Amino acid sequence: MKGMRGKPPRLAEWLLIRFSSRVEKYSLVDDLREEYEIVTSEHSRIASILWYWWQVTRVLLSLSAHLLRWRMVMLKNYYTIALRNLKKHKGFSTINIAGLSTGMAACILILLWVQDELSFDRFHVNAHDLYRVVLEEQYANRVGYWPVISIPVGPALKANFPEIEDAARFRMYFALIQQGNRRFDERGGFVDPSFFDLFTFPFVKGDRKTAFPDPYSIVITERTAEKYFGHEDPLGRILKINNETDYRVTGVIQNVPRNSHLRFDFLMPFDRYIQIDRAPESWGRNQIDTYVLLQGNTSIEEVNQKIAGLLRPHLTRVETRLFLQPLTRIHLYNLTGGGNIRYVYIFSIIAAFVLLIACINFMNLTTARSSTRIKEVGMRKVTGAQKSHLVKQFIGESILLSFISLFFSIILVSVFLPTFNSLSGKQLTIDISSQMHVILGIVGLAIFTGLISGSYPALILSSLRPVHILRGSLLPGSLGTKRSIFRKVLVVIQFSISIVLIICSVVVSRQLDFIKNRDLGYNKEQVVFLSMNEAMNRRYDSIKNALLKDSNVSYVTGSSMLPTEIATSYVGFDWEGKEPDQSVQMYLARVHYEFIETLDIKLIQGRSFSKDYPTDGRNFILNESAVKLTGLRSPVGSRFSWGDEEGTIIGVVEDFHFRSLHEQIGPLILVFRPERCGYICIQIKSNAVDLSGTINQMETTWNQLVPEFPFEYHFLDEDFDAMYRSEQRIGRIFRYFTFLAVFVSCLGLFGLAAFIAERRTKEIGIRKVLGASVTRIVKLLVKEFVILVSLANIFA
Amino acid sequence: MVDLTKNEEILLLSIWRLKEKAYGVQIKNFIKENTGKDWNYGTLYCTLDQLVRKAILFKREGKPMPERGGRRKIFYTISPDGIKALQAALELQKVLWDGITSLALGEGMQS
Repeated sequence: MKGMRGKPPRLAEWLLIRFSSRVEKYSLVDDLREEYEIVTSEHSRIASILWYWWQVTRVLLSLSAHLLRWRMVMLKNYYTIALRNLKKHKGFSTINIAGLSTGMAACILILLWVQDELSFDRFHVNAHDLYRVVLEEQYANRVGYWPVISIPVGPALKANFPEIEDAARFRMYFALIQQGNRRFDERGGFVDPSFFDLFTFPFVKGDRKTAFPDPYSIVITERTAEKYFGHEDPLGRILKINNETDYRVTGVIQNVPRNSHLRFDFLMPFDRYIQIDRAPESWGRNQIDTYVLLQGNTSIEEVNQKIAGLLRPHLTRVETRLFLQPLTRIHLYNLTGGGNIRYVYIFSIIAAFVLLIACINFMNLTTARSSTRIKEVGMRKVTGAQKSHLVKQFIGESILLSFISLFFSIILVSVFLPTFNSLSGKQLTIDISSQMHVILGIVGLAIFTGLISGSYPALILSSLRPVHILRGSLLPGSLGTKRSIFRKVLVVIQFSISIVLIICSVVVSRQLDFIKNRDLGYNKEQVVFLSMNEAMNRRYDSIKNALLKDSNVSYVTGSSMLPTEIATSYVGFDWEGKEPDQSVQMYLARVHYEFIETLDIKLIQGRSFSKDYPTDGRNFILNESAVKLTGLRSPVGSRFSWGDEEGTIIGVVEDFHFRSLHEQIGPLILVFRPERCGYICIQIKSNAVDLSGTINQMETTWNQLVPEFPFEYHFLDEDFDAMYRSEQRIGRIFRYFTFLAVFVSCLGLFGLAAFIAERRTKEIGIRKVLGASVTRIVKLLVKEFVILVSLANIFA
Repeated sequence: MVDLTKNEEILLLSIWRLKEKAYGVQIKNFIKENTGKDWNYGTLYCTLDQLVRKAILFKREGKPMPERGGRRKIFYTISPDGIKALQAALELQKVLWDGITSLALGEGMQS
């Protein structure tokens, strides 16, 4: 028993031995043990154990404080030396810091961008359990994905599958909202009340649970509230939608964050949408975004398997499969593959490259200059510094430098953030409080940069033998060709990366030019379009005739979709010689007279829709791809049908790009449906002199005929450009960062060249004295670098 | 000549008083009894190590002790340099306190 009492707690003792390295540790441990025995003989076991622990804590605390004080002294010395070195070589330091901070600033900007991209839709509390319902349709010719589905699917999912806790539907809706004399086109939607349970869109006014007391309620965002009501209380006020119906404001929610794929400024109850929809019971009309909330820890694969066949009993004409897509993937991944995640990867790689180039700069300049610090290393070694001390010193120094650069780079970032924002079309901010991980990331970046760029000089310098250094046998010239070869390799790598980036950016901008100047198969210049609702559609003929009175207007037409993006596609087509079980999906646009003429689409065979043929309401015009798909030898005149509508093919148009240029041109059917046109397109003669005058004229005509709707016109080519705006942006960002990379590498090369020239001053002097001309000397100096850069070219 | 800090002075004087018995536990307890301050071993050994390094103290190893697992106790003695340093500290004290018989700080405050 006595032996037991004599032993102090083992863990405490181990800690003591482990961490009190610098003093007489065993003597210390034994002393404590001796005292412990005295304590145990007087107090209880628990008390003495506590006492021992208390002693150990005190010892360790005071030891660490002591150690820290001495470390600080050394640290101060390192710090002074580092600062002195910076001051002594101002030019070098400037180049070094400028290069590194430019690289880091570029990196930070890109990281902010990447972080913003990755943050999409993650602000919802339930983000990880939320999914969007997607419909996959397998046709004979292709597989189609529908991110929107029919109205009954949402409730059916919720009712039939216990794993699905809740479902909410969202129907996008553009409407003209009017209050007093304020009226604007707004983007909004119809939603189920559960929408507010699934998604986190906090209410500022009103209540989440009673958001929609009746079908004529409307919830608006703060932005909308301010736009229409200023500082007045919007609750209970009336907004007129599309000049027809009054809705009462029942709630105000916070503005939708920019990193949400759902965008809206007002929300109305889905019940109301069911009232105005043409066929709310139909299972075949895909138009509703449907989201579901899964119960936590539900396996998504299992749910996908269960729900896959939900639509099969209702849609027999085509093979379908329902599945769930995670909410957080919607922004980054397209259903067909690819998506923004590609840009995230590309930009991350660019950021890494730019940073790497900056680091290589740093390494080169530091090692190049290391000869000037060799004496210091020798002194330190002689006075007892170990290799590890020197490694620490040099790495510490480069971390210090990288933090200085970090400081400058943050200044740079805050200066250029607005420019970058307009470039990238985002609203990025550096917000310390909410973006702790960004800050940590940036600091981590600085440390990482410091470590990487300091590692090479640190390891080389610290491994030198003091005897050699101090005897002077390690003169700069004899410092070893190995090192300068390494430096050259680094320069080559650096320039190879830059050149690869340049090539990439040239390719990217070529491609963008290609998109811009591609012959689309239709004429997008000088075409003005307006969106048209049913009220306007009823007056289409009078509008058209009035517009055509202007001699500068050549054609007016209407269509259900703009030719830049025809999104609607259907199945159920039939033609002569079709294999019975073949289910083919084709794009379809409903158009008015003179659609083909207005857009200058080439008619290969047959004719366009015309007033002279009253039966055109049942006839079809196909594009070349559609003809190819059907395999018809002489399409014009042959029988064709869509569902129960039978008619003949009256014309064939040449393929034109009615969807993104990234897609192959698909089969397209044009049908004549004047009552279903959502847009009116006006072609202005290309020789019209006074474009703005013509537009003003149009506006006057418009306001006479449909005064209740504003004349909000767009040019078709602008709309087209808007489709590729994100790509243009990416291309521009890419170019700028390539330029930065090149700039940084040139800076590094400049620094290196300047240093070498300085070192060879004497040599140059002697050469001059011996009669060398200036050009020869320049040649001599330039030669080496030209070789390096051209080598890099070859590699790239 | 090495200037001593107050802690070092206390430590040296304690060792001086303890003579041959001056090792860790004894020094610590002596300081506690005489000054009321409870030093921890961390502080104690750091200061001791420093003084040894400055050659103010000498280390001397005692006999192997069975209760210490066969390890020796380490005793400390003051070196001639240490004596000089202590004398200097005493001189300094004397000079500074010369003529002050009783400490009445309150008087100084009034003027």
